[in-house]
Amino acid sequence: MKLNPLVVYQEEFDQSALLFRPDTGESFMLNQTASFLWKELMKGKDEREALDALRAACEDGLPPAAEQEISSFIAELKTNGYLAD
Amino acid sequence: MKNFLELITGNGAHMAMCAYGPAALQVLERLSFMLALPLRESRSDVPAMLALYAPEEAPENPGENVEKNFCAGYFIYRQAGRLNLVMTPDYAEVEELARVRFPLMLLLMQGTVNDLSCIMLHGAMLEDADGKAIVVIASSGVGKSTTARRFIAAGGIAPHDDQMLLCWNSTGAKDDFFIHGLPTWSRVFNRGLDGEVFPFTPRREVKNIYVLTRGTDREEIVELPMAAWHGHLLAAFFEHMVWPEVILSTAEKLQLSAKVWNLVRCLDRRFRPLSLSARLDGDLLKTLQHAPRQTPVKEKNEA
Repeated sequence: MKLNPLVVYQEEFDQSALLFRPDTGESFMLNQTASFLWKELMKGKDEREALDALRAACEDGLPPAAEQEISSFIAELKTNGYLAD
Repeated sequence: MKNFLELITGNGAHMAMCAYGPAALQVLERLSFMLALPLRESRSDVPAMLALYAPEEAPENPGENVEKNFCAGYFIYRQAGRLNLVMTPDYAEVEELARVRFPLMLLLMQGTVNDLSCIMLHGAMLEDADGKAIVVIASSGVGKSTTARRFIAAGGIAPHDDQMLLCWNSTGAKDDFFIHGLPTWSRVFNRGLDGEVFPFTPRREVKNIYVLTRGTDREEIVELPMAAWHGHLLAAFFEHMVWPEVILSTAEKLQLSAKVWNLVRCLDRRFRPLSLSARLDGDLLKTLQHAPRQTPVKEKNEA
């Protein structure tokens, strides 16, 4: 999965984060989980690997809807140009 | 020959552009009128960061072409810290507003790139009772212009309503922010290039910055999540840079982003993430003019 090289990622002190596209002026707010996933994608992982990393990080396991929600999140990142493919 | 337009910012930075040939000079005269800044003779101590050339005045070696095609009726070249814009032979087919606006956008973006501690900002400027600026930023369509009109209707002064230039002085732990007016381009579009003046001077000290949101219960100033604050600030800074950014390489765009992010951090040291939660039936003048000077999150926590 290829990240848009122009995207700026900034973590906030409250553990939320921000993605910003200087070429369009658009930003995308990330909660703690989304921020975790983005950082996994930055490591070069694909959607499945990012999900596995999240599962491993959650001691209580992921809720049933997590996989679908993460797919939607990745699709939104692609639609908004934060991910190239 | 008076072919030199100089913008001196509130922090003492100089940004100048010059023009050669009648068609280029006409562009400069338009900007001079709109910004209420006089044209002057060139100054050897202030090099022009941007030069406009009419087609017949094109220099033999204008520099490296940074746009394969052209933009707003100009071929764009770089040469030793200066941008050379040569009008294309068919420049007259491009809307005059674009031909006038684009060089100004480029000049101001170049000021940020060159570390002159200034940046374009999209928002509305409202004047406080003591003449300081209350800056309101928002996504498109949320109601900046409406807020400015409401402020005026309530007896306030709202000198600018689209584009401004934010500049700053950082001395030790203290950051002072000033703002200059730039044209409201939608009004220029509607009324023509000779229809209205948007004075660049005087500079105004920035008292408070608010993100405009639509209120539900009443008009008030409310806290904003940090990520939302930063997102709105970045959007306000890049709103007018997206166009001139076409001349920058990917690496330069990333450098510019880093500079802008540093500025956002600098703003965090002075301003608190606050939103003006506006309602049409609220008392805007009272809400804004009685609001205390913003203090940063850290300052309050320390207190």
